[in-house]
Amino acid sequence: MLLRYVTRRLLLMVPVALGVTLLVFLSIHMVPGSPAYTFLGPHATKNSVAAFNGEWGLDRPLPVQYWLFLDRLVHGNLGESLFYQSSVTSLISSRIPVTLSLLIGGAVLSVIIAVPLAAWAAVKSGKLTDQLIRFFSTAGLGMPSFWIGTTLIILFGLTFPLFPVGGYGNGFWGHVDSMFLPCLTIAISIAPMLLRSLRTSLIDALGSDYVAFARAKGTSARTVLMRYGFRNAAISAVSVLGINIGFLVGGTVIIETVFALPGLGQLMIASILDRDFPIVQGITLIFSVVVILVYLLTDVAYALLDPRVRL
Amino acid sequence: MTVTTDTLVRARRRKFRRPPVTLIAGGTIVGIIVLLAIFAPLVTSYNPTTINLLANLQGPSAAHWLGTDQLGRDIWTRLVYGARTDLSVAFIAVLAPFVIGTILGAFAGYLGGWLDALIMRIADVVVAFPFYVLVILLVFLLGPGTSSIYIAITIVSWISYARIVRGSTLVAKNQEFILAAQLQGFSTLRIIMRHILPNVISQAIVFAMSDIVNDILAIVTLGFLGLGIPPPAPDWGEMMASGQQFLTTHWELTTIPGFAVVLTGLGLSLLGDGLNELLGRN
Amino acid sequence: MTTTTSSTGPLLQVEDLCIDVTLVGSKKTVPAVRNVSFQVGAGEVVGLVGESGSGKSLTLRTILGILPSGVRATSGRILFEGVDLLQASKRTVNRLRGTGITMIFQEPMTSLNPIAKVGEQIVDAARAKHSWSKNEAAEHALSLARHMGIPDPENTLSLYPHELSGGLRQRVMIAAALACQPKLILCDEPTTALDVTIQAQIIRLLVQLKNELGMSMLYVTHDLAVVAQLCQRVEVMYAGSIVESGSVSDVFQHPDHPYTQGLARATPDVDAVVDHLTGIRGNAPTLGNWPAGCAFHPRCDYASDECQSGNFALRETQPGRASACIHIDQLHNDVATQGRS
Repeated sequence: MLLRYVTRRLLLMVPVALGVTLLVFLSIHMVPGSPAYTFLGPHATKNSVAAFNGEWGLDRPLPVQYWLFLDRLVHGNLGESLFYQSSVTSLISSRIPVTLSLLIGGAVLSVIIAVPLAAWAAVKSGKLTDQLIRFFSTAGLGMPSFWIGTTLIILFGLTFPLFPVGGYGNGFWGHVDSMFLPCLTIAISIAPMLLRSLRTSLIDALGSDYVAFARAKGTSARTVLMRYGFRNAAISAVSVLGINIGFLVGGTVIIETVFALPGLGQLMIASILDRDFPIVQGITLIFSVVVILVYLLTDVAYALLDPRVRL
Repeated sequence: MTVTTDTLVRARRRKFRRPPVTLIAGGTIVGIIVLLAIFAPLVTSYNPTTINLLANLQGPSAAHWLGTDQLGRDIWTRLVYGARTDLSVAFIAVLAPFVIGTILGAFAGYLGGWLDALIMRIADVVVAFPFYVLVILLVFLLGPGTSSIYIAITIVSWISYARIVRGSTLVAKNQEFILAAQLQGFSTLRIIMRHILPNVISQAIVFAMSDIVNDILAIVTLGFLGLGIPPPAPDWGEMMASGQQFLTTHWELTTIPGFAVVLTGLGLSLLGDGLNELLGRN
Repeated sequence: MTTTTSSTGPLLQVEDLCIDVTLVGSKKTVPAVRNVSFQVGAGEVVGLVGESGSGKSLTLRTILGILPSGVRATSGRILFEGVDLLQASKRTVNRLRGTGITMIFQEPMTSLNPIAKVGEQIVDAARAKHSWSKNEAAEHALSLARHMGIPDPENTLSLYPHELSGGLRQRVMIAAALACQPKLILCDEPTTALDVTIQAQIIRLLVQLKNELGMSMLYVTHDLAVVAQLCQRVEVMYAGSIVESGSVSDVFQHPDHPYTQGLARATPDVDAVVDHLTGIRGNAPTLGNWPAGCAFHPRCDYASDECQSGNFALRETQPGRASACIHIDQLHNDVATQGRS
């Protein structure tokens, strides 16, 4: 039954995925003027321009170009980098582990930060504790993630040198050590959203009839909070985390730049400065694939958590 | 007729309600920052772009309240002029998505059918891209500059308005006063503009408050990445980015404009929360 | 321990209870329950009757200490087996919930956790209190479900609330409430949300349980027919105060308050003095807008100038009966003449 649900969701994703490829494909045509000169520079030779147009199929009609683009895509071919002597696919795949661990680490840390604070605020709803937590989460919404990262570097990298200020480190523990501050940065920038929605849904749940009845029948306060409060609030928290995955992924681009982490985001920014279009295009595509997959996972998690959703 | 009196009564009641603390606090913070930005030439005697390499990287003094940056420019001056740049770009950047998203959302919700399906599928595709990734890509493709920022932000953020307004329109269109308007034979356009929009727009306005925060963050982030408002115009993001090189010796170069962003974001978020509370009480 | 001060006294004794509500919009604090006193003896079933907004549900929730935010008991005592629940520690109150007092709610759909299996919800409180194993808990859930007449319990207990009918959900709620074997069960209009035929089944179940288990019940409703069927004594509430109290047969056959008389006239099936249906004119006042004096006077046929101010406390009219009306004689005269004509 779950398999059928997942398949149905996957099929629903197909038009979205096609739309994404279309947009990514068309992106090169959004460049004002001739793409070839934009990417190869104004002094490009006629031959290199012709080669560029040939490789991108820019001399053919649009539908044919799109078909060629899709054809290369299904063969895992994202083109060749203009800057590095290497295929985009291999450049990207070598960078995925860093970004993925940053994403997962950031998400896990944000849950670790947001859940207890949300519970504390919800239980003390309206009191000083709640108002302080709400104030800081509102302030957190207005913090640029790169500023959070820089502040953490100043605090825990320079003033109290507990963690490395950049790079990926060596060996597993080296990675963990150097990934902590970047993950914390992502967590701090995502946690306010999660905290706010979790607090609201916890307060809703704790004020509900089913919690009143649970207390009336003698359920302990702890059980009420965990089984009746959190379990119900988690459902909406999962979807908030899912909806904000775009923010999370976008956040990695900036954080990797701040901490000089060799991930996809840093490669994207570097390639933008190098005007290395194939890499930018490839990474954009990969990022949206990640987002679409997370949307799918969110749907599945929602269905598993909430029995009212029909599989 | 009854609708009019009802609205009148409600409007009067709203007037007498004490505004929430968040609204007052947020309004005060935003008000002060906006006033500083408007009257920037009055609160400082320096020019934000005048370079004075002889007086660079100075600490705070009577002459330079917050010190000077690596090119000897007065930081306080760049801060208030930066507020001018970033706030005006953010306010303009929020307008187009607000208008486009609200209208598309209202039409999609009211008319339904293929138009609705088309608009919502486009929205699905756009949200499949991470916000920053798409904005960065678009600014890259369109070339740096303020107009690229407007276009990029518009392409990305009309979606939220469209979805919010479409949702409330779906609810509103089955209400009796809309059915009454339909029976009276008003045109679709008139019904949407005169009856649907006034009833669904408040949620879009509340969202616009938090959206301005997102836009300011996007603008300074682009500036930080070197893709923002072109120099030498003062911009908080660019200030923070250039301060990065001096992190070990002059971390305040990065921290001070950061606080300006955080304070602005806090003010706007509080304003949004307060507005939400005020409208949500009905 | 102070639990054994009155083993012969009533099981539950509410004295001079006052409850305030802070309104959401204006933040004004207004009274919702005023100087309410009543008792429930061991094995007794007492009805608490009134229109919505009269404060009956809040009274029930105060007894269990499960008030929503913005609602507060300001004075009075709630003695359960001699222990004042308003003063008792959280621990004590927590221990008494389920084992001493429990409550069943009006809406079985919203009162059950939508994402937990009903079997789990029936026994989770009792399981924690008795440290039952998973199997023991399942056994108890099964036997409770059988007792409540839940069909095919093995299968039903593994379903979620939204998969059950309204009547079944209400049986699940009653099973969950009774899992810790309470001495007093508070019922907050448990049949209002159900179809009429299902209502009758649930009432029959409650009567059966009362007879079998010897529980006391405090039954809140606006349905006099249910009270007549189920209760021995009745307390009639209007605008936060008790306006009449007595045995069910006395109160319904010879109302001592115009409000009760109006209620009885508006209800079919109660063997009251009148045989035609009439409503009470006007509407019940909303919270914060209670008239001064006798709150019922604007709707009352017997109202005089004296009714518009002053204090209208319950006064004993006969042993075991009390009314807050000052025009009882006139009321009785009228009923007598109507009965003769």
